[in-house]
Amino acid sequence: MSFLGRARAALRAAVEARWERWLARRVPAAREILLVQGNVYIMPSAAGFAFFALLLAMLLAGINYENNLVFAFTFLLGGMFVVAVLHTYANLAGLRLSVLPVRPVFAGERAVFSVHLRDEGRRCHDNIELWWRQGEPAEARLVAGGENLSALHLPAPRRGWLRPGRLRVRSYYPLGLLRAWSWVDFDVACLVYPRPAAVGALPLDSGRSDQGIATRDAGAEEFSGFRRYAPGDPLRHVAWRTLAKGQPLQIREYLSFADRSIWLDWEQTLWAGGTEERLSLLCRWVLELHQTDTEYGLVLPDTRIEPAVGDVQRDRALAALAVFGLPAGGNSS
Amino acid sequence: MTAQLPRRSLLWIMGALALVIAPHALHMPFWVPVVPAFAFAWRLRVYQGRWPFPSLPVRALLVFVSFAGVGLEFRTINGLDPAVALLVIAAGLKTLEMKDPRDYMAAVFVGFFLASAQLLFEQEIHYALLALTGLTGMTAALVARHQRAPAPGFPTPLALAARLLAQSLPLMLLLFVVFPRIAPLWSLPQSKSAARTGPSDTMAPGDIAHLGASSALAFRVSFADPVPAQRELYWRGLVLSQFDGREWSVPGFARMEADLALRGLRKVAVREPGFLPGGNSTRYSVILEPSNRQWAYVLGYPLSYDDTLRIGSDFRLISTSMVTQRKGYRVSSDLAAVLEPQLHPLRRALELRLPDGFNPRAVAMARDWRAAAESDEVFIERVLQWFRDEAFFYTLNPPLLGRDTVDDFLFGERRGFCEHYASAFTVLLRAAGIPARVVVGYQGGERNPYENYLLVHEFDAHAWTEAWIAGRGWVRLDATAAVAPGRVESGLGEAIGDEFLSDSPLAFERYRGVPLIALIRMRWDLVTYQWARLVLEYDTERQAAFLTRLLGGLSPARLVAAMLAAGGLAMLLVVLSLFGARPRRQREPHTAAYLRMCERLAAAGLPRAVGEGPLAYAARIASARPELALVVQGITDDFVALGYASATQPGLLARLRRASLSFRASAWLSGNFPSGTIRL
Repeated sequence: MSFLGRARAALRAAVEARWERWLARRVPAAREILLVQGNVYIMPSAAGFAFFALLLAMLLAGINYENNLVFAFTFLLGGMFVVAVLHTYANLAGLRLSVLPVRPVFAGERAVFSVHLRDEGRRCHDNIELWWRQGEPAEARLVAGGENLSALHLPAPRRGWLRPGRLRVRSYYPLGLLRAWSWVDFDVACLVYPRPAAVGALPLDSGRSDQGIATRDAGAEEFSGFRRYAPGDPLRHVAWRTLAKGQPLQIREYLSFADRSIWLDWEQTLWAGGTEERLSLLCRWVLELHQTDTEYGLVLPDTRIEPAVGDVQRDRALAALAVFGLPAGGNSS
Repeated sequence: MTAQLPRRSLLWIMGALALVIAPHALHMPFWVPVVPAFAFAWRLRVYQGRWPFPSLPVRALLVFVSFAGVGLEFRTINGLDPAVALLVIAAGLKTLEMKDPRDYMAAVFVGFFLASAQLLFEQEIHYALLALTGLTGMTAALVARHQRAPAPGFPTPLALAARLLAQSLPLMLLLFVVFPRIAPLWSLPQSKSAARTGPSDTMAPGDIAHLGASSALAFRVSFADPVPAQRELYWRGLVLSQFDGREWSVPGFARMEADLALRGLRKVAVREPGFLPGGNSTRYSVILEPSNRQWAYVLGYPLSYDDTLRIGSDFRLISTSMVTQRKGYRVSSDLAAVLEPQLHPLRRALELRLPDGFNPRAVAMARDWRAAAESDEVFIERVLQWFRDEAFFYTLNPPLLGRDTVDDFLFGERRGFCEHYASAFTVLLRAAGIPARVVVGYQGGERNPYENYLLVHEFDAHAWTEAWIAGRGWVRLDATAAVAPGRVESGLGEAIGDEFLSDSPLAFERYRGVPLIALIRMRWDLVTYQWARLVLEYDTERQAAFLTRLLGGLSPARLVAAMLAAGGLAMLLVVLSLFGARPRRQREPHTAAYLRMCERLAAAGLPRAVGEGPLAYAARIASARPELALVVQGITDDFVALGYASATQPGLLARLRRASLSFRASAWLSGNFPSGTIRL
């Protein structure tokens, strides 16, 4: 790269950083944001500038033909442009935006951010475009006092915390002559698990798990009683028979054998290759063991997760894999 | 911008374009609007999925053929009519290749321009309303393109367009009033399609009679001074001094004067016309209807007049531009002035010239009679008496005349309209050696009883004679008045009876004797007159006068302050209508009761999360604050039962409302339980 190119790149980076700082001051990150005068911007669109040319042509016709009615129509359309500024702004203003908690995804999948819009101004809002910088746009409309939930997809290529950056909110409604927009920074991130390795047998004799032997046979556990269902409980343990009788959702509990657990150890995966490959392999193992309701623990150089079973254990393990070795706070998109 | 057009918006744009193009059909060759109609029909078939889009060669062929058609039809593309025709065609053909938003916007903008271009041709109130309808349609098409499919709770494109335009009306009025009316920056081609109306600069037998059959309006006049008597209202337009035996025409130098006026010269008269003031002055303002001609009409001698007019050497007023649109001017006239007290010999020769070998009997009779009379006045009186005594008829439908028109008329048919009398009388005067000429213009006018102004119609068109008499200058002589005094006293309708407007049985003017019709006609004319006076004729002078009256003085600071205040007020109204408080949406009672509880819980620091269902919320409250569990669960259960259960239990709603009204989350959390327990 030439000196000039480097200088230009540096300049652009500096400008962008400055712009981001300015935006961060003006539209700080938050869980929930109300669009108001301070964070909605408005400018004529390309069609708006063409409209100016039309008005100029009409004005010249009015002057040169000394035609008062042509003047009147010119001013009517000019007035409409001014009124449309307020209408376009009003289409965004008074919207309360928030992002619902995001479900983690595996690297290579697409993260889904559910953006919730609510009208606080008791006005209908139409044709609002929403998108993340790297994602596809979604369109939303709300009746007066109404709500809207838009699913915004964003590719999640790498593990870790996926921060979507600023949410772009834009509208050309009602005339297309003006563009109102806002860049909303949400304090929201999607946890991206490592991509599960395509192949990799389970380590049946694990290095550190000296006291456990793997078992896939859940039937070997002994039934001990019922308890109320909690999210994350395996569906196969649901007591469908009691549910059919009209009782609340219950779980059949089994005595667990603490010693029948597998330790998944970072050290066992040395053969897989680099850090990412090793994490992918561990990820695959976690998923496999979870599927068979096998108790497992996880040992990473900086983390140790005691053996357990169920969705909570899986999520904890995958989260540990997702953020392993990354600086706190995570990467951005 | 999204790269797709909403499907319905295509119907909107075609409907709106049709609305905008239709009025243009009035002044355009018939085939021009057929092109967009054809394009719309094709596009509609595409819309229905029956036909494909036309291929590129087909489109190119359509463009080429219609543009070539415009070239052949108008012989030029540099002019208002061909330019508008091209726009009409382009707007139509654009729909055949309308795929992306940019094409759509281009078509909308062309539509906006066409809607206002219509006003260059027609400026009547009803045409302006038609154009405004087209403009609203185009705006609705613009809205339809930027709106998603119609749904309850959202305005329809038309409703929103009407609202936008209504909200911009105050701004329009403000700008209309204050925007400076500057002089044209450059001259633009005028419309050639509009028909020329009113008298032309030649007059053959039958020409004025032709005008007499038209009930169209020629001009309106309002007098600042008392209106002169009907028989004094001779509106001079053209002075015809040349006679070829059949046709009277304007002499060459008068045509030159008109040309010079068109070029904007300040003084155009070949010879400055002299006059002696008569002291009977009257001020009036005229609004001419478009005639596509250059002459303005004036009473007597114009002492002062607008600077868009020039005076010719025969005292007529000439406009500096063709009157293609309504034109207003103010004149102060001296009705008793002596015109041209000294007659130049060349002028005298011109006003005496008669073609050789025409009308021998009339010329011989005039010479005999002049020889027998002791003065010009006596001779003139004898001729007029002769017209009165002989069996002359005043009719709109005169018979055709032979080569010697005057002889045939005076000694044969004796039935004629004013041009026959004026022509014959002038020929007799010239033959007797008295300088004389034919003046063409209008005579009389109809008074609108609701406002002090006169309507002058085409059927008021008239031709009369002026004779030059030493010491009195040019004297107005009207042989028609001798034959049919009613024509001059009370108008054509009285003078010719059933012949009046016999070709147009629907003309309002024909039935002006019917009181109701007279009332409607005069009221409507008042509206159009005010429209012309207040809107179409609003110019720099009126603007200054109006603003001075409105603001009590005209200074830039005052003007800016008034503009800011008025514009701010207009915008404030829009802001209030958009952001102002409006009634809360009516909720179902059980929802209201439930939301009341949620609000109180939120106030106590336990808000319902976004997307959290009522049951999940109740469960969360129960685990977070067990002391609230019972009440919250009860209210939630009742709410769910009322909202989702099909059978309604009597009293359930009342219980829910009572419970939610007495629910005080904050009080309960702080340990102050209400004394009466809530029955659930």
